[in-house]
Amino acid sequence: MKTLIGGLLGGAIILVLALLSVGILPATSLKLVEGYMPMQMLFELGISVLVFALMSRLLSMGGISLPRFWQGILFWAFILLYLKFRVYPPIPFSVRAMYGTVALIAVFMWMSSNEEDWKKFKQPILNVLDAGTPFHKALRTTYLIALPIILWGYSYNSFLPNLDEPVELRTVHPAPPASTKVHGKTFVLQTSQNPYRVNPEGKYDQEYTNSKIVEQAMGRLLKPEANPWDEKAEGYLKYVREGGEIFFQNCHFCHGDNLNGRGLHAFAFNPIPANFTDPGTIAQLQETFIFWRVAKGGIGLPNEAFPWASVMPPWEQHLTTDEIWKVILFEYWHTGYYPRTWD
Amino acid sequence: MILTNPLFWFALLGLGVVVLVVGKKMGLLNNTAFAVGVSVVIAVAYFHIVDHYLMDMQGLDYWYLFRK
Amino acid sequence: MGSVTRKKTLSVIALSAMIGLLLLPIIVAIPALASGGGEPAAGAPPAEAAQKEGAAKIEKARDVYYKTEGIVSGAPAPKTADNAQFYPRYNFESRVLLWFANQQHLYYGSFVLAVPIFCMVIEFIGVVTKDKAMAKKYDQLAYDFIKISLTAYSLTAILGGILIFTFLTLYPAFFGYLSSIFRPVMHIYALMFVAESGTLYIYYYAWDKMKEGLMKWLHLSMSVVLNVIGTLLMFLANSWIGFMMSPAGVDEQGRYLGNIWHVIHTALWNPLNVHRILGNMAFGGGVVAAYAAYRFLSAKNDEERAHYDWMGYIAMALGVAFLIPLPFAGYWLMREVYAYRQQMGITLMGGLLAWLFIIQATMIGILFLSSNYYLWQALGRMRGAERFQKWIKYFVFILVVGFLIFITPHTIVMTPAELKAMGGQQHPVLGNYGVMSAKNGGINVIITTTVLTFIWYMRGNKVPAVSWSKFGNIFMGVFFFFAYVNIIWLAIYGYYIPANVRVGLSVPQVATTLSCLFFMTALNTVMMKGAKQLGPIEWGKISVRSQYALIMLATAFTWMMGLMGYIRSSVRLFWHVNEIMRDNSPWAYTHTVGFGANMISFNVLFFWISIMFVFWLGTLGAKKAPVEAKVPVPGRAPEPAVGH
Repeated sequence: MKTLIGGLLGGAIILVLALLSVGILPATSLKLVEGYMPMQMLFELGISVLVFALMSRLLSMGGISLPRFWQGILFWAFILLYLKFRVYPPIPFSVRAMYGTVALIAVFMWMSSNEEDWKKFKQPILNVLDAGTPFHKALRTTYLIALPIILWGYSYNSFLPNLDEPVELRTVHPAPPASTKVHGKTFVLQTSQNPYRVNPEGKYDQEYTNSKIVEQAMGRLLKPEANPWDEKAEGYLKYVREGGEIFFQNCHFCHGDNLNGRGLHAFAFNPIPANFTDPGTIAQLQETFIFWRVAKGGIGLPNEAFPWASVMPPWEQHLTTDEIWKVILFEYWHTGYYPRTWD
Repeated sequence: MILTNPLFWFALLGLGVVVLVVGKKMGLLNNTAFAVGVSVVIAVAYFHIVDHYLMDMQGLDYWYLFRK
Repeated sequence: MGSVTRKKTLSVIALSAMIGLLLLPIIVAIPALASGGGEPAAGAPPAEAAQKEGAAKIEKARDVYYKTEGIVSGAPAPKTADNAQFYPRYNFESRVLLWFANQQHLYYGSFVLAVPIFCMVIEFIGVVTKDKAMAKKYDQLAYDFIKISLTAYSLTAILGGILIFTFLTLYPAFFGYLSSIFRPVMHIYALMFVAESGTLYIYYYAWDKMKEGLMKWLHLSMSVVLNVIGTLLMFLANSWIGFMMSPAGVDEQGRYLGNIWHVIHTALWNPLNVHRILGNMAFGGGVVAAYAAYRFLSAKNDEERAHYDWMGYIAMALGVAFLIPLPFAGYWLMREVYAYRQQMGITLMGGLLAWLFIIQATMIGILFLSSNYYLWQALGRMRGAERFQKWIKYFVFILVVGFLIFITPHTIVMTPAELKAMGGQQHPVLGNYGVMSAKNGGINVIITTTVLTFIWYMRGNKVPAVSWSKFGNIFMGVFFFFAYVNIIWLAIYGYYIPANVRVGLSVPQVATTLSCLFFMTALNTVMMKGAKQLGPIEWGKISVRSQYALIMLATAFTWMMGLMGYIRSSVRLFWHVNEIMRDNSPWAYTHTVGFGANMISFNVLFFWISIMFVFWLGTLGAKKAPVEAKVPVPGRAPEPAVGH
């Protein structure tokens, strides 16, 4: 009975993964829940480990035990298949290779964690090498023949002409210069401030403006007392509205009306335009950094940003300094992020 | 909300310690249920205090999401 | 009896005199330092009086960092050009030669700075240990340590010489400028070197003479003096690299403004100091552990194996003790870098050098994985530790998940086809692992697990015997559970709150980890008082794999040190001295990641080959007695180092 339960539990997971692998079950049929994906993946992996441990225990209670060696190998295979077929959209090979290597190390650490297990793990390998039985001898001979063939195939493959575009190591946030000159005025990036980030008294005030931005929790919500499209909106909120107008006249074609980098023309570019709602873009940069990037565009990128994969126009040729500052104000307001500060 | 008040967590921590001392007097220390209960109370209260005050020290609000 | 006492007193006096003499250069130098560095201070008042009429000659300028006014008292930084006058060269990249010389000097330097600190700690433990046999063992260990460092010490000096020659022949203009800025302290540095070697030699050669009572304490205090000098030496050396990264005490043209303290105390000096001390200690521990592993693997009998097993364990424990705070010191350094120049920080973390940081994260992960692995293997030498072993697989899982999140790159390397399949730069699942919030969670999970592993190790062959042991165990379990919950919760919480609040979350996360480290090890120590022993620790009965883990640990340390040094140095980009003196040599570009990695690997390989030689030298002297006593069986081949 216990054997049966154990087999069923582990078997169910393996079956699902197998169906996913051969494509009978499309990858998207098991939903990765929006907003919880990273934790869901870890949770699934953790549950699998627990179930497998339980399965192994129940099976061995029933007298069936999988050899150590195969436990390790199969678990590793499980991880590789999980990463390849369970997670969608597909994970790029470089990351899967990294994960796979680490998983292999983990399996080794598990298998060799104590002397007894290590012996059990080594045994099948030693058996093949020693070739004590006819079966093992045949296996050894097979390896002897198969290994060169596999290596030959690998070499052959690597000599085939490859038509894929080469991989690019792109610097997403290149270091900005210490200062930048826009419309004849020099801005020191370390100390410059957005002239429109002001409180009702007209003073530069981060705290005040931050209290007016869109709520960014589960979804984005306008704060009731902070509506830029209110007729009576003054000061900061009025500048946000003006920034918004500039954004929708100039920027949204690429950066999208939800500021997520998926505008009308976005997919004509590679890479696609910056996604401002991503916590890794404007949220971790200083306002002056954005100012510099907007003003100078793709062609203004420094040497280290090679291969300069940005087609953003240098907006200083189309917008005034004030307009650039207002657009930035709007972008932060809309995404609900604060610009990075150093104090 | 009372949960966002550090004093509540201090009180809870204090309560946990008091119960622990009382339990010790009554020889309850090696009772599993008692031990788990007291430990949970102390650990939870302690980590809330850590979270709250270490954010507070940097001038930040740990309860940012819950205050709304 | 009386004569013995007199002899003792005499030798104490002689010793004090010696130390006094050694410290004299420092003491003499202090007034000069305090008054703001040799020449200008001495010359300033009369010069001012004399120049009342010719005020044009006194030129004042503004400090680039401290923004104070100072009297210009040095030449501006030379404006170099790509020619043989400023950059004489062999038919080879000068920068690579300098890199090599510098890195080797640094490896040996940090090794000889770290080992005496261990020596001091271990000798102290030996002195205060009540158990006579144990005390002797510790004392012997400390002696072994210093013996290794002695040969390394002369190598350090030789490499230092090579470094200076390399500087003088290949970068004369730059080196001339740097030494003109640091002129007031240059000789203090040299004299401190003399003091360091003097103290070291007395410390080493007087070991047997100063074995008992007061003399032992005196000997111990000598090690303190030795370490103080060593640390000051390092601080001075750090001030040069600090000056190169974040210059201060000079004006915009690089002219010295007469305040040497400003030049030394630059924005990054103190973070560098702290980071380097901790790094050196971890590195030193790693190297000594590797030495012990090497001796263990080549040991001929159980006695030797037992000794080197123990030595390896102590060295590893010391190394890891300093490894744990190291990421936090690094975090501080990074914060200061950001505060000093934003673009410098971005170049490091998000820009040009970001890929190196991914490699660095991998190395940190390897360090923690190997130390955990070592401790699990070490459970094997304790009888009674078997009950822990079946849980190791879950530890592996937790560690590896933390590790994987920690090394997930923010920008993924992919072919354009993969990019299209993914539908954007960010992967919806993995993209979330690539940001700081998740990574902090990952590394804290790793460290907490390491703490847990260590506690298990301490419990290996013991069962707590205190009356409240059940409560203690439960409390510990619950505390660790909620520590994990808190760390993971804070990592997730970070996604739902704005960046400004989010960056602060790392502090409570770290505090959670440290709470586990301090409270739980303390609690464990209390619980283990008078614990029931299940069996002895059988030193030497450890798997060979553990020793390879130690070697791995040491190699990873060395590699990482080379990597971090390279990152720190190349963040200046095309500057010799950041924003003051431009590097106009043909090698002012940043190497590719691949070239950098190869170069670091070469440096690591060279260091290990040369230190193997040092180790071998150490065995030459020590062999005499024990080997002769045991006549080997004729005709028997030396046993290979196999496990059991």
